[in-house]
Amino acid sequence: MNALANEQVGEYVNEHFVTAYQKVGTFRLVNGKKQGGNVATYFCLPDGTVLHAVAGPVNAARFLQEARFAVEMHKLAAANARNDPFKYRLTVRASHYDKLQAESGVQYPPAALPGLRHADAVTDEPLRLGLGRRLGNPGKVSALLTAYPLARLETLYPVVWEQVLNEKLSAAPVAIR
Amino acid sequence: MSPRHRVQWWRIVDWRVVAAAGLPVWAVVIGFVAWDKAHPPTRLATSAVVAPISAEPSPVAPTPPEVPAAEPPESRVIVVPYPVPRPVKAVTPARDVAFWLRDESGEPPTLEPQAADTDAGCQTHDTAVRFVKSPIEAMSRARREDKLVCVLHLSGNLEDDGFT
Repeated sequence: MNALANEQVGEYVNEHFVTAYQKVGTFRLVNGKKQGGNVATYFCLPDGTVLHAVAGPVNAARFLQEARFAVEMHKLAAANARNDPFKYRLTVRASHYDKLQAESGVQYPPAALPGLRHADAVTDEPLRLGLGRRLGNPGKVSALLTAYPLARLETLYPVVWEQVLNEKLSAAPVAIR
Repeated sequence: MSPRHRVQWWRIVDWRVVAAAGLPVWAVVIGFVAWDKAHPPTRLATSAVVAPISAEPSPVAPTPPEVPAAEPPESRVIVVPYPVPRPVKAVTPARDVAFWLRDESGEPPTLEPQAADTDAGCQTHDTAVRFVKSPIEAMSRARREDKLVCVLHLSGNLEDDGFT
């Protein structure tokens, strides 16, 4: 959580976001040492749809970069869409498509893109297209959000937590041994 | 030689007949003259008569009060009971609210004044970020404050030091 302790990150996040956290997994404390455990950050619209996500821990500079990407993408999509959800979703898909290509050098096959009407039925299909093996966590998230732009948080986070971060969803408390 | 009698013309006329015939004529003539005296004829003005203008205003007869003309039956005013106007709350015009700010019912959020304490109910948990209690509350608050939502999914608890 070092990134969130950064003053610059805190100032930017507090200005543009209302932040909350949720426990979705667990880990073990063995002899005072942490085993397992992870973190995922989702930048969402107030209606619960996901604009962008960060899978895994990142440093302050990277966290700030991703937060700014979400804010600027929202501004662009809002300006392009003029309150049309379909056009807004198109802009979000295009932004993640470009981000995936720019950062990972991978082009999502356009023929494999699911229809925007089905963006809420999130599966790990984009990670099994042969892309997943070549991509890191940021690339996998971009691939998922290219396929499912503005997916609802409750449908996206199980895929991110289990398929991208390889963690198990759990409501169990932290085990101390 | 016998003397020739010359007959005078006035002896030939029967003056009684003449008188009987002339009497109505004279009566008509005399009657006309008498009527004409009693009713002199109006004469047309042959020249303009300039009256001297006096400095003092001539007295003007007061105008009689105007009598309201009778209104046609179509324009009669119908008197109906008039309700006393009561103060009504100002209706705020409908805003073109962005789709991501609407809640499940589709209603736009009620915007809170900017002076509201944004730190109320927030905790930092030794970070520089203010956390609200739950993602649901974050979405509701973001809707009101026109912000985005940042949700952290963790393996542990931020409240417990070392459990994150």
